[in-house]
Amino acid sequence: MLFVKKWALATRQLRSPILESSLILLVGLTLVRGLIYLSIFPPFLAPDEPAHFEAIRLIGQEKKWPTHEVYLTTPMHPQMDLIFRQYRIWTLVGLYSPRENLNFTSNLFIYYYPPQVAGIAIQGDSYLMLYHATVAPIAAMLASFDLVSQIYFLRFVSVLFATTTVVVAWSTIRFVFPEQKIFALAVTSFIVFWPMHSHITASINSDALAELIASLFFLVLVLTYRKGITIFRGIVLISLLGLATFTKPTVFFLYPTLVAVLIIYIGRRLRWANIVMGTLIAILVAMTWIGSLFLFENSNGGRSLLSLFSSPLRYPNWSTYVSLDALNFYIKSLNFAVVSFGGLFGWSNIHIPWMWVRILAVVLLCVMLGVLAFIYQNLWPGGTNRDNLSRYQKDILLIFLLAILFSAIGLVAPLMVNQSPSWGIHSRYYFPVIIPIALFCFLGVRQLIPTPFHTFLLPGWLIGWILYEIAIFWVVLIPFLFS
Amino acid sequence: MPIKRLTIGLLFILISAGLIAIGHSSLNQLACEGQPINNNVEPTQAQQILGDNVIGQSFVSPRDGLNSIHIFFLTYQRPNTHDVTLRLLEASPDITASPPVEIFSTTFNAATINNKAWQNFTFPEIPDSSGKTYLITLQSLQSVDGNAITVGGIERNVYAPGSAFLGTIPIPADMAFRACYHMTIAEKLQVLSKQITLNRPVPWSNAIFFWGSIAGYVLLLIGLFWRLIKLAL
Repeated sequence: MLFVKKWALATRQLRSPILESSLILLVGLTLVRGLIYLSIFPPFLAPDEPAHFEAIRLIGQEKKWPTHEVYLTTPMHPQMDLIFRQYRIWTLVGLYSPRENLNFTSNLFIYYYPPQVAGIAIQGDSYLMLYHATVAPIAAMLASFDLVSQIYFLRFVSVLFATTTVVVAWSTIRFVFPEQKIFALAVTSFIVFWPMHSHITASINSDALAELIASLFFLVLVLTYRKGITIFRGIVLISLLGLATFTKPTVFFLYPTLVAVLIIYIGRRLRWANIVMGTLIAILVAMTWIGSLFLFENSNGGRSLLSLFSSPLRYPNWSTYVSLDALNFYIKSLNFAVVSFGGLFGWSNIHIPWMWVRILAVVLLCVMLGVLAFIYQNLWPGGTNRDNLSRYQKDILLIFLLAILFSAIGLVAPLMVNQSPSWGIHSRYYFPVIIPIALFCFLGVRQLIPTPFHTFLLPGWLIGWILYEIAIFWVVLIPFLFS
Repeated sequence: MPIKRLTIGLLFILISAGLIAIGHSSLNQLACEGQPINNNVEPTQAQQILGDNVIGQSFVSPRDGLNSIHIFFLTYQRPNTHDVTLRLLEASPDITASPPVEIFSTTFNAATINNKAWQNFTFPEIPDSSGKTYLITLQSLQSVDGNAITVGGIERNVYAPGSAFLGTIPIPADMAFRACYHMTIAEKLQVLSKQITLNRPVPWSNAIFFWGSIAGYVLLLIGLFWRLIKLAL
């Protein structure tokens, strides 16, 4: 409550009537889009949704912690198979029903979904369960509803998480760039209109909560960096880190990010030379990289974190990371990453047309060049600082950049360790850095546009996103789901 | 100020053009029926459409006005150069009972086909197609091993009213195909409403919920752009 009051007080000076009403409209859009996305996708047709739902149901409705033993003894929801058949889910994802090819005759979830998708049930003895435990009381309240309604209501909880993220993103960018009104609008519109974001945050999945926790962390971080550390802010930051630890491995990048913040903060206070600060950050990046490889070698990609110390330590196998096969695999993974950014819906089986993927790859490459140009001009020591950024803004941008880098390390490390497409770079894995990514994407595009046309950058950016989103909805999703 | 207004006007034209393009593409696919799923990710050489290999798919038209067929092709990621013939035949419900009658035939070059993409074939509307059984066949006498295309689909009989065929023999599989009909936009949206609300609980079982949400979305978008214009001007 105290934090909300302080936050409201701090934002008061940044208020602008037109901007504030735009935020209300964007919040409304997030809610309505969330409703539309959660409604058009049949139940369970979202990444790992059956597994997440069953874990939540076991906690909330069966009052059992979802361990392996519990899955072996507790029947799955009695309507689950019926819903799979009624909505043709196995057909829509191009798989056989377990009744057809696995001779599934029991009523145990662990023999129904995980073997068919070569996946795992979400088990409380090895998986990070904060999301499931948080949502479980709502599942308990929904127990009397039919299964489809339960799924839709639980999806709506994710929509609420995403809506909060939009407000947090808005506030974060307004704190960092109070003069550049359009930055907050651009960043939030990226979050609101990105189709993959709408799909994942309208499904039962831990990604929406992971994103919200990381976004809150960024908000408190920019406040703290600007106004100084207090006991209260310190406790909030540490609490958010703690929550992140129990939510999803995709949020672990917050740890090295916090260390980077300390390096930059202390470096500025003690007036370290750029070379000293650069060296320390380079060491931090290298240590994060190596640490991630160790972590993912020993914890099933970070998912079995709780059993990390129960088995002998395995060392990274360096030679397999750089073989010719490995390089070939990395290129394919990059291609997958572009598809997943553009649109890879359902159980990663509903994708945008390949022609769109090629165009998107070119666009992303251009944006990346724009970002590099921006970094060179504004953040690199000796750059021209074309955008007249303050020291505070430069530091925050540097922290955001490092956060993206640490998040990328966290995504690439399991790929290197496992060399398996099942560890592909799904866009939802970098939702926790959505604020920095959205900001840098916009800055990259802005860099490519001549200054006299900057006035029209935001409308153009918005129109691009909206048209893309409408095209995805009406050309890709509706024909696939309803023909 | 005039330049700003001009640019806003241009952006408005851009939106309209984009929406028209999306609407056109979408309307072509709306209210079509068939089997859209392809899990034939790595097609075998045996699936090539060549020589006497005739690949077919039967379907029952649910309504009148059949006027186009969409087929999902695979090219083995190589250039293919020979002609392929598509035929649409009207058949008896028991396809093997009597020889089917050709309704439409067209020949296209395999070079015009994109890999893993839908290809549309439009023909004069069949006004009384409702309830009739049709057979789509694909043949390429000139194609040879290594220079032939194939179709996407699923190795299961998921499309209940029809089946895939190899020559005249039905196989437990279905091509990825869509059959589309001459309909007004309102009729198409009505069909979509029925599909979207099928088996859904309240309030999702009511089309008003979906169209109301979309209307709310459009209104919010208009509001946002109105704010933006005020900000820009």
